Amino acid sequence: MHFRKGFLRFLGLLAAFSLLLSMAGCGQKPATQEKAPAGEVKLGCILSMSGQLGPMGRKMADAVRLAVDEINAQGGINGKKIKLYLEDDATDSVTALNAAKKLVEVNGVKLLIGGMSSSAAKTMGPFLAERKVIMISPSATAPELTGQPWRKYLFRTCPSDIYQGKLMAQIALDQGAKKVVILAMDNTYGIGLGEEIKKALEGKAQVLAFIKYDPKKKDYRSELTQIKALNPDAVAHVGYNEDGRIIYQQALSLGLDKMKWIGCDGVYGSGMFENPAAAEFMAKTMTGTRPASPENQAYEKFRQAYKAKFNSEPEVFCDTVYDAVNLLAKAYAQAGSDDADKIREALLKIGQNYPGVSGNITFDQGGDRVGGYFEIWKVVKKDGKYECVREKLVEVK
Amino acid sequence: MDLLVVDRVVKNFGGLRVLNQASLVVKKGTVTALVGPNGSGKTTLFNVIYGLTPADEGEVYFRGKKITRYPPYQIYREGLALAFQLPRLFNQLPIMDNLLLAAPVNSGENPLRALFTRPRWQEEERALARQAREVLELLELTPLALRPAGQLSGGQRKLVEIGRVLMAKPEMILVDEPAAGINPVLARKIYATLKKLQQEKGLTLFVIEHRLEVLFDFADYVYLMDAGRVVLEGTPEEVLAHPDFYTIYAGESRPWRVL
Amino acid sequence: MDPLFYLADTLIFIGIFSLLSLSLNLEFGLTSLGNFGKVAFFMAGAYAYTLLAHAALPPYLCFLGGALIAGLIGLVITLPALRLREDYLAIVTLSFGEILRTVVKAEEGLAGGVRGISVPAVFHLGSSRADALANILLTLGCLALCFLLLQALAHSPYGRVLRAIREDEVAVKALGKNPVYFKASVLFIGSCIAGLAGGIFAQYLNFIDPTMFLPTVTFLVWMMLILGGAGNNWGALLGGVVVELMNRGTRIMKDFITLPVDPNNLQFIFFGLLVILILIFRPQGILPEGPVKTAARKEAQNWISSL
Repeated sequence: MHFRKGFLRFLGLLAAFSLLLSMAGCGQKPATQEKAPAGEVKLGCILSMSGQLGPMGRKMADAVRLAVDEINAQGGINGKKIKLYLEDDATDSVTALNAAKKLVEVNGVKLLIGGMSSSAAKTMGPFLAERKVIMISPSATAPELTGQPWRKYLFRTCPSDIYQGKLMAQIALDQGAKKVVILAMDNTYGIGLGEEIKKALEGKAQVLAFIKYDPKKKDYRSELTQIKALNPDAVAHVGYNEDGRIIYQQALSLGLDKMKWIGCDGVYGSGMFENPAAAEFMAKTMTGTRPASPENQAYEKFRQAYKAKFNSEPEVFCDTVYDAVNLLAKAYAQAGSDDADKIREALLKIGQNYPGVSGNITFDQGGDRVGGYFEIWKVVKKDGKYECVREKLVEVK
Repeated sequence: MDLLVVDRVVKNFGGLRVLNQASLVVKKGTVTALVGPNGSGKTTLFNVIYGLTPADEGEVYFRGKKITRYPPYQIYREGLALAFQLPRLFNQLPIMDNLLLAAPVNSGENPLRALFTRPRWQEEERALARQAREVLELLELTPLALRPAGQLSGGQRKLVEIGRVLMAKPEMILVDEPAAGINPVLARKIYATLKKLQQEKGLTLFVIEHRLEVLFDFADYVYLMDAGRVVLEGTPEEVLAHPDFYTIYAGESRPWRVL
Repeated sequence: MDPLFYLADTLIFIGIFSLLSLSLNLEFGLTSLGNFGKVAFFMAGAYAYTLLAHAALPPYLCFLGGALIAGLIGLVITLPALRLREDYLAIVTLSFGEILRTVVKAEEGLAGGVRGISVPAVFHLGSSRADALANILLTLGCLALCFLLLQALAHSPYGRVLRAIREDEVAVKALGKNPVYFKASVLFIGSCIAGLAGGIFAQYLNFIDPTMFLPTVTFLVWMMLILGGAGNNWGALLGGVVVELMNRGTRIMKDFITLPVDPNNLQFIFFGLLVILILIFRPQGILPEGPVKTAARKEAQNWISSL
């Protein structure tokens, strides 16, 4: 009995020590590689490969691999090949920070692609500023990232939700709406985009209410009856597929298709049509927006290459992350070192009407992308089947 | 002095009237016994007195104070302690700790004092340890002091249970079958100890007991219960000499039905 | 690049989570209280610290205030459930965690809502190294202090009563002690410590938002305690160390071993299995609980050895 107790105690401590040692040991190994060996440039990439944004992140990771492989096939950057360090942040911001710390402190990475969600970007922000590491986010669209005190070394190739907000507001106004209700999910994306819509409508139309809801609910009648009572001309809705289907089905039964509904990228896609009532509703009254790639050659080329390599279509933000890798590589080549300030200067210089696959990218002094490309879409019924079609492609500034 | 007064207590469990106007008095400084056939309500009466189950009618007085509605821990604080029929010891704790927990005053049980006045309660602990040792020696359990209570035999656990009660230095103890499951020699020893406590410390004892031979030597007064009330009382000689005693005592008790 | 920084970060996270684990040990290990809302008091402490810091209070007051506020909230929320069966406490604490998160998300004026809120750091010593070292000292210092306090409580008459409550609450009542008072004090102290951990966490990260306080944090802390040994403060520490090291170790392992699955995610499968095995074969955890060691026990040991 005593022996067993002591033995297990010993085992526990041994496990702890060996892990601690392995970490200290890791400190030893790269020590000989303090400066990257003559033939290598380290690129770190922190994306959500699991968790809520997992499906999106995995596709984006493929786009990253495509970009890296293409660069390496052409000889790398200034003759050095890129070594990709891919980390999963599991759609958790503290895990993202942990991954960043590991890449920077243990692997010696100075170039990062990451901050997939705005929450992760905000969590990693102070660390990046303090350790002077450059990061480009391909998909953190929250407007409040603009102007943060630690923003110096964080860039974004995705347009901030300010633009989509402006666009959605504009669509409502174009449809003659004088009274608008905003219906948004109670997460960063919903509230952020909702606020931008509200700001854009200021002085031009009356915002009767800003209704927040829990996207995990299964019933939205209370919110919808509230909307019915307010009787707006238009409803701007920020949601995802799961909640969107239910909302539109219930809205149809409550007769809310009399109002104009404006949707966003969250409710785009064939997934919505799994619910025929929702599809019917959308066909009747919905106009939507979503970030879109311009119909240009660069995107088509990227799309073909992606398809060839991964046997599937690239999806949202694959283009912005592909551009991010290339921008970072070019900036590093121009700066000639991994000093964050030099790379920042280089990024600002290169990022002036840079011809990316996600359109022309121009960075402002704050590291944000100026303007963005969006598609206005509608739902139509063709041959008995519903589908989302592009009505127009616009550039929002 | 009438230390404990039970006044026409009624207790119903569903359709059964288990205590039917039970009344009795325990005088201070005596060893009083409660006997009766199985199901006559003896244990229920103890539970009602000690506040473990509420009376439906009637009152209980201790030292003149009405304790009928008091919760157990308040009754304990008044100086009335109960030793269970089936010992409820803390099985994972050593006997020592079981005894220490029964001490009514231990300043270290207050979290702030536990943190900041360590020397004071350590001293109290030592004093309590010495008291516990006395109790353990009385019960002949000293070498087992640090043994977890769960590892003891049934008889030993009963002893510890009584030891716990002794730690409280109460004015009166209710003991439900102190000698159940214990060999006759040890049982006599327990009673001798209890008697000693009565004589030397003025402890009053109210005991439920089945073994009649014990009563003669140790009890000062006896109550016989049947069907939820007291049917016979007196000194052991008086009660045991009564013609109806054995028929009642040996018979099956039938609780009254509530109409 | 500086692996020592990563080590420092690891130590700080070990410290924060060990504090949570220790607090759960007091509640569940010693007193068998099923607190399934540990993250709620962690969150309360983090946000309380942040709001106090924004009100320009000096850091030590923010830590103290954060801990006390978390403790009071813990007390108030659980008090109604303490007289009832343990299941109700579990339900109350679990749902409170989600309620708190929902309230913070909804009340944007309070603390930034879903956007989160920035937290001023305590240490601005001029270099990242100095700041990191200061944070290590702060975290491990608080850990040591709380550890000593909890050990003192565990090995005292108070700790003895807690264990008795764990076994048989009714018997404790019959001995003249009020179990509700003890349970309430345990939850207060436990929530204070969780709140302190929250404050350290908030100022170290310089930013907090509701997504950092999901119920998974509670379950992580439970896992640490079960693994390390419920009832033993050393066990709680060990659990914190092992789980956090495993987390960091698997992330580094990725560079050296190629597996079809990301090793960092494998840790969850591994831990799940480990917890199941431990609960079946060794429910007391790696380090089992020891007896209450007070002067009384020493006395007893003396006379037994002299027999």
